[in-house]
Amino acid sequence: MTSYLVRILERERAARHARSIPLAAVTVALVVLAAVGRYLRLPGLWDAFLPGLTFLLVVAAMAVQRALRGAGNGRDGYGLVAVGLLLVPFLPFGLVAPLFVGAEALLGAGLVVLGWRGRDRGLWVPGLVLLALGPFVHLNGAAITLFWLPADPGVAVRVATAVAFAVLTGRAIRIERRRSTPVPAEVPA
Amino acid sequence: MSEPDPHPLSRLDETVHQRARLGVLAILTERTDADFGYLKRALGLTDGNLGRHLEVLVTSGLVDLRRGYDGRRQRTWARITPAGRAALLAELDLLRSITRLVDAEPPDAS
Repeated sequence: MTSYLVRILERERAARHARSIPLAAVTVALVVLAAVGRYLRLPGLWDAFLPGLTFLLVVAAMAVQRALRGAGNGRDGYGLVAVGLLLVPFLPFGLVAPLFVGAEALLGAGLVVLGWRGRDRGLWVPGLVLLALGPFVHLNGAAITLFWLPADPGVAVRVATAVAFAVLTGRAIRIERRRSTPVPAEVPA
Repeated sequence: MSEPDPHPLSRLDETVHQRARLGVLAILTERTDADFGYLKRALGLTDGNLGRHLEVLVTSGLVDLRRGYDGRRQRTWARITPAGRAALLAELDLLRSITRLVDAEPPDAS
């Protein structure tokens, strides 16, 4: 009976894409950050708004999923994370925070909160990596340690991170597909 | 002489322990709420069967039902109550303690 319960809990988490949707949204945000660094020039401080908008996208995806499937999204706190990150630019020093820790660190903080509330290592571990990576890129850690790279070290690290997150998202989707088969309540005779 | 501790099995709550109702509570714990059709598909139950189990859970205060509209279609949403969540966690604890008890039993010598 315990395994039946565990299977249902795992199945439901997989069926609502609790891991792949946040990872996919963060991947898109990382691609935007890498592309802006390389090809686009946007007005300064725009990246303070990116983490909040990214998790707002997650909230929207979850709401669409709830309406289509007829099942809610649990208590992971998607709205809480989105609102918290959308408020960051309006806090003291919030607008300039991405200059020092990077939008990556704020994206990572969002994943850590979701992973902690959902007890999902597949979210909080990548979140911790992003939390460390943001200051590494923005406080010149990348520029100093990776000076030998032919490309801009900051952009190279961002591109590599975006690729790694795309791989993680693909892996999460495969795991969710495997786990989301129905668990019948009636045992066949 | 003191009374021996009652066996954990004596603490099983039949309202929660029944397999289909346990499935409904587990889904609602992970989802917070779900509509009738979703629960039916996820657990492979018939309309009548699921309706009866939901009635038991609602009567016990473990689940709330709410009717809503999705365009013109009526939908019945089930939502777990704090008491329902507590009952499911208590059941999980109990099942784990029974498993531990069985694992600790010495193998039968016969």
